[in-house]
Amino acid sequence: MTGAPRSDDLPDRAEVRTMLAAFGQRAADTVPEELGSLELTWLVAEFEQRYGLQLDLDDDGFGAVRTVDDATELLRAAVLAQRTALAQRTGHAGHTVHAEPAGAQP
Amino acid sequence: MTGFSLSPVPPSVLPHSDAPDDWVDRLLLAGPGGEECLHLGAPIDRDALRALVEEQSVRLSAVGLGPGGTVALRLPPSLAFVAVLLACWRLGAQVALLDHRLTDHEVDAAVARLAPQVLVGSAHRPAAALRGFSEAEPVAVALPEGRPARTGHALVQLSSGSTGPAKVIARTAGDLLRELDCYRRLEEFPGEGERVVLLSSVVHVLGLVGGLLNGLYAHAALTVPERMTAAGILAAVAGSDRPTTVIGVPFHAELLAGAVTPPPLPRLRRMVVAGELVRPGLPALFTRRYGVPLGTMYGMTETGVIATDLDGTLHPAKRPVHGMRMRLVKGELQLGAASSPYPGLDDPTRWSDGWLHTRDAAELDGAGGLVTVLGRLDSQVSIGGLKVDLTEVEQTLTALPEVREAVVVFDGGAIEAYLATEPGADLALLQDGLTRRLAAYKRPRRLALLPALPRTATGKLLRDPAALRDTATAAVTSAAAAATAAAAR
Repeated sequence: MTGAPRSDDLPDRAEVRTMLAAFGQRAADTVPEELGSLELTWLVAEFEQRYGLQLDLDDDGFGAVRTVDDATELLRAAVLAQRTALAQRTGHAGHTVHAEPAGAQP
Repeated sequence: MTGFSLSPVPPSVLPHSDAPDDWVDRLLLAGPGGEECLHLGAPIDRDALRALVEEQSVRLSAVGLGPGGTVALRLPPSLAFVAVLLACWRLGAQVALLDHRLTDHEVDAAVARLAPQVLVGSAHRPAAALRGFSEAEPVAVALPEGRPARTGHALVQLSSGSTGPAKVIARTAGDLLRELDCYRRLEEFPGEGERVVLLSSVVHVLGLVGGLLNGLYAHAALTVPERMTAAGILAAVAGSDRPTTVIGVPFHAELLAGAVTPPPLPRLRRMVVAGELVRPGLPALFTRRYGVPLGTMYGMTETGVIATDLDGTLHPAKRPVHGMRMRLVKGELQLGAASSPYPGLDDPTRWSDGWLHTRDAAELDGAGGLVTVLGRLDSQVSIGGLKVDLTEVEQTLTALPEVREAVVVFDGGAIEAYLATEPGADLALLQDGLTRRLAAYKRPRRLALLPALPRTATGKLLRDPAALRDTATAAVTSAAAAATAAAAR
């Protein structure tokens, strides 16, 4: 096992705001800094769809999110954790997991 | 089923006395033993459900619950919740449902108010994030201070209160059966041989009656997805060959409409949402994505379903359900109701002379018999279908020792609070205090501390969200300038 899973393809704060704007079809500059649980659920669905993963989030982590920055940090960490786990299972590290969008998995 | 009218029972009789004897066994649990009726992670047939209900009946009897008894359930959506609820009703008890998301502080207040003889909770705190249901292990505890039922209601629910404490809303078993009969008369609503994927909580009226009880009564199998993400919901919809209806709140329709490449879902009949107004454009977006209608329903905890547009062809109007009488008084929609659903509350602004005041503004189309709901006339808002009264939030904030005054507003789908606090008040401490007292969905998303709250020329607290935000921004700018000036000295 060498290296860590890549993270340069993960969304930053600006991209997360764009994802949030799609919720209710709003303009990105009208997305407030503070998040509710519905918006966080929306973001989880967006991340899962984009990366073909199922993210494991505990209640404490989910409940502690208050802002776009908190959500960006939590979801980036969750994707990286999933990638690390997958890499360990398959024996490959530093490798992007490509999969069908989660929405296509019945 | 005919002959039920809205809340027809005088409140002095035993719970369940306005419904047929053994109504839970005969109307909800009866049916072929091998018929799948629920799917929460695994299929459950009627034999298995009957055995679970019997097991809970024995346990609840052992702690003294019986006819005319009272019990409060504090369980998350789970198979245990279903079994305990049906067991309590089967024993003839009056059941109060407490949302499992309520804080200990809120549950203590509810128990003090309702005085149930038995409280059923979960042995461990179940994980809830993104889950459609939990694994709960029910534990029933007898409460020595509890009192037997004082009214003939079978179901008691609490609504966020406009005067601070939660409002008690009660329904009889006969009224629940009346609502089930309304659903049965709607051809488009799921019936025998069909299937419901339920996204709304079974602790609230839409999920409880429209989802769980209708599923059992009409023999439509009920599935609750394990994960409430778009992928999890779509997997649940795709998991059966039966004609499937998805029931949820508008947020769930947003979530599904946002799925980029949904799988083919040839058995999906429609999605039906209720709980709050649907954003214009969402029904068309949903139908483009899935090729089926996004129907809507209008209802309230007090009465259940009031009007529907299950095909989405009347939007934004809806057709009243069977037997629903409506009138408009000064723009407010009122419903014919023989008795008040608010035990112990004598408030003519909520129920008077056989009419229930919905506090919703509406238009009635006299010729077509349709109703269009326009929005609330009071301080109640909807967060993902859950009702929150801003007055309750405001009073909870004002009760915190550091807070002198509070104004709570709703803007852009979120609750915002503006506070005038004692000098040196700590925002983190305030948030902790609120976390202990208010369920997460009721908490303001934004808390702004101000030296003083802005007022109108006549001295009233200003409640315009934009003006409050401007004041908060100005306060932050002025504090920053003062800090800079102090640093320069």
